[in-house]
Amino acid sequence: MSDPGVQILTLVEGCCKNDRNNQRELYHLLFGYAMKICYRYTSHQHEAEELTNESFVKLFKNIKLFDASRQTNVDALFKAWFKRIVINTCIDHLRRNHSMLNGHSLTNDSENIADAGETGIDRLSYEEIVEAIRQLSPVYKTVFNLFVIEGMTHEEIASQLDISVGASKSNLSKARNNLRKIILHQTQYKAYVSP
Amino acid sequence: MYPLDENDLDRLSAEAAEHYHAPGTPSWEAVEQVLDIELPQKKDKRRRGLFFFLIFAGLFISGAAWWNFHGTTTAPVTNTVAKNIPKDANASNATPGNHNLATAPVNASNSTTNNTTIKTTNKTSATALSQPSANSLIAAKQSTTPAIKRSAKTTSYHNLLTPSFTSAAGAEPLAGKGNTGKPSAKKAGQPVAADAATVNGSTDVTGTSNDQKTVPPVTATTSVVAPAQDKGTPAATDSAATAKKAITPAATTPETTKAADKKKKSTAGGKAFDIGVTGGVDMSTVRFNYGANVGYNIGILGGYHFNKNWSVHTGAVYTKKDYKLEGDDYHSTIANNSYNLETVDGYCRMWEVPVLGRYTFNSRTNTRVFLSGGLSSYFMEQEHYNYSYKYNGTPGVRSWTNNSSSNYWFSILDFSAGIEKPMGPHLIAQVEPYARLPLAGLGFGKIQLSSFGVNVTLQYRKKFGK
Repeated sequence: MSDPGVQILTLVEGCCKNDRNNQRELYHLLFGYAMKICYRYTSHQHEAEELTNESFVKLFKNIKLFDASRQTNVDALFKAWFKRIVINTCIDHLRRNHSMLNGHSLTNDSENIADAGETGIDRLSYEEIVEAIRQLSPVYKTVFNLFVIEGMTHEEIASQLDISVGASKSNLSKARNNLRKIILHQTQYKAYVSP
Repeated sequence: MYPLDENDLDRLSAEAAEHYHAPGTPSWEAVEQVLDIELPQKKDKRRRGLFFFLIFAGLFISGAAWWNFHGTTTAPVTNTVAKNIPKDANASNATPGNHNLATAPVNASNSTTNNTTIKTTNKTSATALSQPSANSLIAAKQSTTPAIKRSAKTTSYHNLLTPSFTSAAGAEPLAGKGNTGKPSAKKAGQPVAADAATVNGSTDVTGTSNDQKTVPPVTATTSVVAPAQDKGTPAATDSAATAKKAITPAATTPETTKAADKKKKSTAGGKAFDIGVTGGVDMSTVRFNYGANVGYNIGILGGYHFNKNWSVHTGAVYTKKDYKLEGDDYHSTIANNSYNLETVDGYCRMWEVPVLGRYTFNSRTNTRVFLSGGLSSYFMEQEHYNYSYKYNGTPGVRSWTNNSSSNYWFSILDFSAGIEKPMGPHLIAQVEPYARLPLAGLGFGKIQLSSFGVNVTLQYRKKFGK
């Protein structure tokens, strides 16, 4: 099997020449990777698929900007670069479709989920945890994803979402609380239905 | 069950995000459709456009070359025949189907009024009249072959030969005159007849020998023929030689005709000037990426003709060009990186001043083909742009009109090929497809605008000294 770095590099070179075959191959190679990111930021599968495709179009349009000489691990470098494109696409989508991002509604976004005080997250699969994240409101979900999973700082999140750092921290705190409640609900249900 | 603190929640969420399997199926077709719009495959389209243009230009050039070659080789023969036919046809009773190769050049000599030619021809005709020998016929055939070959391909060949035979009827009395009391003719006639019978009994040869009597100048210059008749005996005995003599001047006749035609042409194709109005349609493109609306050209052109083939032309043409281009092809000096320019469509109005050299090919008909090449200057009057862009991912459209003028001296390479046809003594109509390729960026966006189209010109042309 060929080195993924070499494979990526070959495909990137082809995509730089706007070659459809290389673009198609790269699309199929990275579709799962991009879909995994988009799925966490959206509530519906078709929405995630649309954002994934949009991310690829952006990737192909800007692929000449990718600088492969900066690092030896081209595969990781390219995936990290592409991840930024996908996340930005998701944030753009959030801006377009959720106007409450800019304003007080962002900070007051809350969900009426009962607090059970403790949870049994170890009983949940990865898919169920992700589903729990997806149940958060769009803004909480975005802040939680950016901070916890993408590893961004509050300053970066504030800059990306055009909100204050305080609002970012507040949203993260509320997102955690709500996520905890959602997970508790799920574990309680599982404990109830499982033998 | 245990309480879920922040760290655990974050860690488990990160692990889940890394290891879970997202549903969803790839749909490359959807992506490809968007890519075809936003990232069209430029190279193929550009090559296709260039390919069609090259085919178009190649067809024109090869057509013009064929026209040129065809016209110069056949024109003199046609002219000679056209002039000769009426005289001979009226002078005698034409019998179709009786064609004489040997007399063809002789007949052609009618058009040239050269005394020596006539004399020699008459000598031959007198000899041939009295001595239709096979030898002389063979010699005549051989000597006339080069001259005949040239005209044999043309349909005018039959017309060229027929009168020579028809003059035989008129020549007969003269032959009778010449032969009376001249035993030399008889002497000569006997071996010739024997030769004819033994050497060649075919109808072709005998027919030719009969026709040999019919050399037309005989009737015209009977008195001149007399000395030749006096020397009837040697002429008759050396019939092959006389036949050659007779044919030689005849064979040179087309050359003299050609020379006369050339002289006529050179006097006709003198210096001239022209002025005309032109108008047409224009299709402009930037790298063949998009189609756009059709623009127009309208203006005045003038020219100076050095001779029948070479001329120079210039003028002023007002043109409107519509186009659409990709954002990448628009090079604004005040570009803002926050804006992602996707497409630009618009138009420009400007004056175009071409300076063109033109070669017009000779032709046997009135319709002539020409090729032009040169440089054009643009003087921009107005530019209008519609920008489609994305600002932080949000699509937008904005329009802008620039009324400031700008000049682009000799920034366009201009090629055209066309045909022209006279519409009157001084009026000429021209149809001229053209291609204009950029040497420099045009307008505010420094766009590489290529233009293709067709112009129709009505031209008034006047020769100097007339």
